[in-house]
Amino acid sequence: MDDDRIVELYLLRDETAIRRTAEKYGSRLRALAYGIVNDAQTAEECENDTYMEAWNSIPPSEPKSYLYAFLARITRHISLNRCRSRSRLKRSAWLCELSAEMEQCIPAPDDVDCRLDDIALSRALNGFLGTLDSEKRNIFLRRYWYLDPVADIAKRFSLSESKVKTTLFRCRLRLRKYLEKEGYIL
Amino acid sequence: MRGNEFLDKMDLIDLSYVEAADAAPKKKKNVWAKWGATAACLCLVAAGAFMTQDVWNAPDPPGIPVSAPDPAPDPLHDPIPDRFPDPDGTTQQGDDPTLRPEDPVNMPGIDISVTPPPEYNGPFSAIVPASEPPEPTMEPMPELTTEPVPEPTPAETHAPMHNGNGFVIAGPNNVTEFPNVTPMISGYGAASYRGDMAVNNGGSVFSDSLRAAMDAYGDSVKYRVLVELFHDGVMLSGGGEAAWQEARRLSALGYITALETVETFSVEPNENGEHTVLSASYYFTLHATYEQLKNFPASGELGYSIMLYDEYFGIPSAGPDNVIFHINGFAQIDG
Repeated sequence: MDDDRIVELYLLRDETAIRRTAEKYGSRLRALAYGIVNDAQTAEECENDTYMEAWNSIPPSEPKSYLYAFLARITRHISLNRCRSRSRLKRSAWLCELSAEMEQCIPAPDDVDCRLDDIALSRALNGFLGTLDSEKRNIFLRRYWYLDPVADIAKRFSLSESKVKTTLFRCRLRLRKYLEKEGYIL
Repeated sequence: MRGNEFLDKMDLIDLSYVEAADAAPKKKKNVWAKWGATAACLCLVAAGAFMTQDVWNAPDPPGIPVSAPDPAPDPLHDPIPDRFPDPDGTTQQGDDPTLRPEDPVNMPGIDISVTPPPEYNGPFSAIVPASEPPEPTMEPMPELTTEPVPEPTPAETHAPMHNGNGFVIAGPNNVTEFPNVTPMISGYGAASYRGDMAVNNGGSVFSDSLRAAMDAYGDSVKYRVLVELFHDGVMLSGGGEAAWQEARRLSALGYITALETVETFSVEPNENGEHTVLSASYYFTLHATYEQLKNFPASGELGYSIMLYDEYFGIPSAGPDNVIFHINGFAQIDG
């Protein structure tokens, strides 16, 4: 079923919208959640929570063009929160590693009492991503949006792991310089 | 902001980029595999040629005349032919004048086609394993801790700061002041929106944050609120006909109403040079006084869930150093 039609079902408050969503995107959402929480049952719970959140979000949102990405964003958010609320050390270590990488993107703090709201930060992030070629952009997103391990990214793009790590490192530095140059303070 | 929070902010990335990153990547042609296969075939032929030469160069046994055959082909030294005639005499390669002698060609009986790399079986097609993966051994990491959210304090204990543009940077909550205009509040406390409560026809429900803000500020400020409309327990679109009619009705009663549209566009323009609208969301908002909220004239046909504007969009409530809340502009709906 087309995404347009599935969103129409949500807008009409037809509960078959959930079933259609699960049929079309359930396995992908579950795999995304599993990659973050590393537990099959929790991944299934995150998937179900995604459907509930989607039901509550449509309307007012009407993501007819990118329904999967809209749902994946919800799943990512739920899964990350679940991961943080659990005290499993190996996942905390994995999150610490990702957080440490993200720290390198943040410009040095300043005394200025101005902070970015989400709209400006969104503009900054998307502006930066627009400066990258598609391969670098996809590698960056696979790592920091989809939270793939470096080995998986290397396999996906037929690159060596060292090449992926180097690409990510350079992207992080470029993002930091971009934010500094544009005058954004986080 | 720290790395952990920045990781969450990746959610703000354009969904078109997210979708593109999930598409199957283009397979890279492995040029070296093709040439390696060619070299392997040449070596096999060369080895066969050497073995064959030894047999033909052996001395004739006495008494048995043997006529010398044509010399075996020597691929290492003979030029590679650009055509191999089929057994029936036709040309296999066809009349391709662009084919160079050094180009690899299919030798009869030998297939040098390159085996494509195996299909990528990435995380989105992976089958969830039945058993837990093995526990890696590593040093224990410190527990992640989050700083407690400070409780909002009454406005009068914080002196407002000006940013030079005539706007006042918020005190403990998102209060915006325009010169000669009553300040307007759009956020209070750190409550986050959970839109899962339908309101019956004729009812109006205020969020906890809105009620707390009204208790704290009373009629000293105006309130910028977002209203979710329901009819028979079903949420209505903020841009639909019912919302428009309700906006006109409330405007006629003296409320400042707005129907806000938030559209997300593709970063890359399409073939017509236009940026495609990826999604659109519609929101019904009000700027209301304390009295207008307290005496809200709910229609008997609609239910209202009313909350502070920032509460819905997740903008954290202000501390002394929080960003000033900017109003993008609104159109007053005339009744």
